[in-house]
Amino acid sequence: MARLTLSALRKSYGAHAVVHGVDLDVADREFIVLVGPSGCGKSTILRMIAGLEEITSGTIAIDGRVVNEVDPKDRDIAMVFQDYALYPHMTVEQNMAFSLRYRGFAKAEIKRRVGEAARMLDIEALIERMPRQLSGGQRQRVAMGRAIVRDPKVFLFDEPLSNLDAKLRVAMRTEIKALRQRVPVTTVYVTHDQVEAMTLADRIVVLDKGSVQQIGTPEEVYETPASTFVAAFMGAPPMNLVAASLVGERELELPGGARLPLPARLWARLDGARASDIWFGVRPEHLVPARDAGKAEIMAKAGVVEPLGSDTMVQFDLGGATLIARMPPKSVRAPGDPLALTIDAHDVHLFDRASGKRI
Amino acid sequence: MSLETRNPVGSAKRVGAVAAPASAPGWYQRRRTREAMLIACFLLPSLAIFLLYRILPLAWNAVLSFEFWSPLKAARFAGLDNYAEMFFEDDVFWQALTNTLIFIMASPVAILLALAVALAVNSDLKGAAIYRTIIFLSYPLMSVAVGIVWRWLYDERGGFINFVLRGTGLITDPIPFLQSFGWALPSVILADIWQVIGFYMIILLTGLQSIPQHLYEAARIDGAPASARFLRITLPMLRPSLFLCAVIGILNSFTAFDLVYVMTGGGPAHATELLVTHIYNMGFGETRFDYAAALTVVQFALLVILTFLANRAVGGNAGSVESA
Amino acid sequence: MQRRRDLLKIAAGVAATSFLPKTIYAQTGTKKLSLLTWNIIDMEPLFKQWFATFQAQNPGVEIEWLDKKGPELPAFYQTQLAAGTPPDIVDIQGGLGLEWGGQGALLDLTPMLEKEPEVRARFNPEYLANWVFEGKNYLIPFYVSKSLLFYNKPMFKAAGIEYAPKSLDDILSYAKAVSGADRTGFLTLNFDWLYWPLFRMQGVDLLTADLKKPTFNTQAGIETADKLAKATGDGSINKISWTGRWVEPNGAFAAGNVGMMHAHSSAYFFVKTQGSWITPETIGIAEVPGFWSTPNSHGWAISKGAKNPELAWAFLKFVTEKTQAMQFARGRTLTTANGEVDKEFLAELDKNDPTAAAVLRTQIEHTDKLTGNWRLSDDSSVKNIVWAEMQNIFLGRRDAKTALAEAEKKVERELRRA
Repeated sequence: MARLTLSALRKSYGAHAVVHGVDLDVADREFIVLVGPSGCGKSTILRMIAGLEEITSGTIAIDGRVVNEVDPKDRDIAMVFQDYALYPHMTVEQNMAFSLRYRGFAKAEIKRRVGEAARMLDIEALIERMPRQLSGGQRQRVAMGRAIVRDPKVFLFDEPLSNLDAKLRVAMRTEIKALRQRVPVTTVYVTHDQVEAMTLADRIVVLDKGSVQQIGTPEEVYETPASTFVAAFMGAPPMNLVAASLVGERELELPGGARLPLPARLWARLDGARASDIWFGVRPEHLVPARDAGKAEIMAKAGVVEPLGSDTMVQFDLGGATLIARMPPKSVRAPGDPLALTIDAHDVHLFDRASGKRI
Repeated sequence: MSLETRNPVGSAKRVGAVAAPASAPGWYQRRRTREAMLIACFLLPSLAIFLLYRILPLAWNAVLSFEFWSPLKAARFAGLDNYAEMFFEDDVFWQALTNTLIFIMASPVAILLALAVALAVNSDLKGAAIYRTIIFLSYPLMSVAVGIVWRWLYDERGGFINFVLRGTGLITDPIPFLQSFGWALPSVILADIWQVIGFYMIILLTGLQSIPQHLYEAARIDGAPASARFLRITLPMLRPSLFLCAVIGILNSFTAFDLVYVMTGGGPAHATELLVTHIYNMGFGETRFDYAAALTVVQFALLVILTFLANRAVGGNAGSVESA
Repeated sequence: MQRRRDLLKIAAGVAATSFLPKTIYAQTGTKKLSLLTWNIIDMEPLFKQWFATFQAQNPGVEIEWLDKKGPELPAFYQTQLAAGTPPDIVDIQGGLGLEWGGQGALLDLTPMLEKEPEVRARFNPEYLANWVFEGKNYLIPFYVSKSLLFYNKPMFKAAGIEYAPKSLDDILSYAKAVSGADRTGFLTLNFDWLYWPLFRMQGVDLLTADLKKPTFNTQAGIETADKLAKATGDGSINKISWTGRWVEPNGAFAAGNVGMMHAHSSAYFFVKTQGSWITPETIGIAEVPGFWSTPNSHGWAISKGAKNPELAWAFLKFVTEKTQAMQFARGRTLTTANGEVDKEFLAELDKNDPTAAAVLRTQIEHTDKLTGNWRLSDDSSVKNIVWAEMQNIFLGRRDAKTALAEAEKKVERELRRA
């Protein structure tokens, strides 16, 4: 049972502010992923939670107890580092037992916990080895084992998969997910990889330049991005964003002159002041081939065509802007093929041009 | 490359069985030979120099130690006479050996001091880079100059050390550091430590800086107090650096010739005689190259044994940088 | 550091060159003369001038000159010997010449000196005789010096002492009288066996006349050593006497708080530039009591392995000739043991620098009482043995009786070994 609350959390190095007032409420057993490009402040926030970085202002509370001045070891947290930070001169077993030795556990209890964690992570056979004798994935497991044996209130992960190769990363991601179901502990997980964020998180916190852009479930963040930044950051390939303006009654004019009727839902939210100055956004998978070419909203010629097997990614030019569509396989074969695309009005995203905020 | 060709022995046995291309082992052998020749070519110049300037003199020295020989007289087989004289008649040899061992035993003290200094200048201390430079500066100084400076510092009447000790009331009568049998060796050792400490510090500092910061952070979260972080992370991670220092300390004790020569000349009455100064005196002072050669063989053997032991203590990787 | 490297190089060189065939070094055809001098690079212009004159007199001669600093020369020369390429001519200081001669490194110059009595006649016979080993004369004097006593007249005056000491007891009682808080009474340079006149003036000698047995372990020897130890213990004698070499003792005397210093003539020129108190009126110059002194002279020798011994001998005759010797005496302000030159030069110096002249005059008087070198091929081994025990006595680690008995035993063993 552990709740983690960040209130107006700030961090500056001298005059240089890197975290600008972050508020976050992590529920017990919730898995939160902090995601954002490098330099967005996500690791700094994590390190402040761990107590490795001083807090400039604001508070961090665990279960209602403000821990700003509490030593890392007394916060009852466990952290998995990007480079694992295994003690190189200790065996796997010693690494995992290290923290327990300083917490007054009996030898038998230490042995039991280490054994249990090792079993859970399938590293029992490696228990006598030194870290340098392990592969990257094995080290990763040991690092997680070291965190698990503690049975802490909060788990902190600092880009734990970024040192692994792509294939192993996918496998470990699945394992973390599986592990999390067996050991449901309040977790803050930092990554720059939006796929990791989407797959692992209960809720995602998207950060940019030290500020929270959006907090929400993966679906929320994906389906209703709060800003152009979130829209572009979450999703691969990113959401198509083009400048658009309103014309006539409930119609949107895209570059190149294509027109799109707007549903009443969206129309209601628009007022005259910003009506002519908006970003139009649509996810690549929502640009779908029109059954009837005459009813297509967008007519274009295919540019770069990238068949992926399950889908085919097609780039095309629309009045000077480049858009990407995720098409059914084999629907487009070569550059120059004509495209007749349609967009469901529900899949349209509109953002304010000046602030980038969702309309 | 297939598994068979990776292991020439295995492949030869299995050629028939798995019907591997018959040419593979031959090709592989040729390539191995070519590689070996190329390696030999690259190594040859340094090997030649090593042989000419290290191994040959050493071998000749060993031969010489079993002879009676001077530059002008034909060599005559001496058997173990030189060694017998050394072990049974030469008090100075035993004194020099004892002094050399004391010199060696002082090096852990120097290394501990250097570690303390390295930890201090490795911190966020303001101006740490400047202190680091100042402390290292003593090392590249010429030992002769260091010796002369320390001679003046140690002087009984006008020396700074006596001036300070008397000024602060710690002693009433000046101490004749280099003129006394008890003080001379510690005094020389102190000067030596002063000179070499900067070098130790740089080695240890490099070692300290190669310890990943995350280990300390992990240990803090794990609940290890500062003392435990030092004992369980810093020290084990520094082991290769520490033992490199120890090996250098041993070598230094065997070669601290200039300092002793300048500061005391081995005196008074051999109180600061080291094996190396004794060798010099026998060879170039008394023109007894044969006897000096025998002394050199003993010093060499001692050096090899001690270095071997020190290196073994660290698991054979003195100086290496261990990483996770 | 540098010396350490040099030593390594030398050691490597000894080994490496000894494997090379000697023929590589054999000079054929040219008349080449190699010359090794000891710490005299300041006289380079004069040497160059001499070479030019000598080459004019001996057309076709090539001269190769090398100068080595104090501690480097012995090692260098021995290395060259071992390599079979000794320089034709070598400038050797102190007792080392005898030792090397005795070991067979040097050419016996006696036949030349006999053939040319006018050359022999140039030199002070005692200085010349100082380099005779088993009847063979291995060196001829280049420039000579021996020890004398300098004293601090103001310090003497303050203690009510009017005369230079006439005995060891005088030395020690004067020393005690002038010493005090920061002052010591007496100091001797000790290298090259300079302290030995202190024993000799008490009638103690190191070895019997036939050089077969030690004679220092006598009542007189023990008493003398005891006295020196006592005086060292109570601060009358400066401890640097028993450990310092050249710069420190001289520096201490120049600083003006040492009553007497036993050193050779060249020390005067060093302390004069260091001590502001030193003027002709304040510095006392005296012979050592009993007129005993230790020489510290430089002589010329020809290596036995010289390629051109005749040419080398011609060069030695040339440099010790009156003109050249006079130039050298003037250049360095010293005595050459060339009787005629020294006489004329001192007369000249009397006018320019009477104090220096007084110092140098002691160098050519009482030359029959030189001590401190023995005609042994292992002279330095014997000296080292005795010296270590003397240090034990003077610095209070051992009593004189035990230490001298121990030294006697070791010297006997060393004499047997050689």
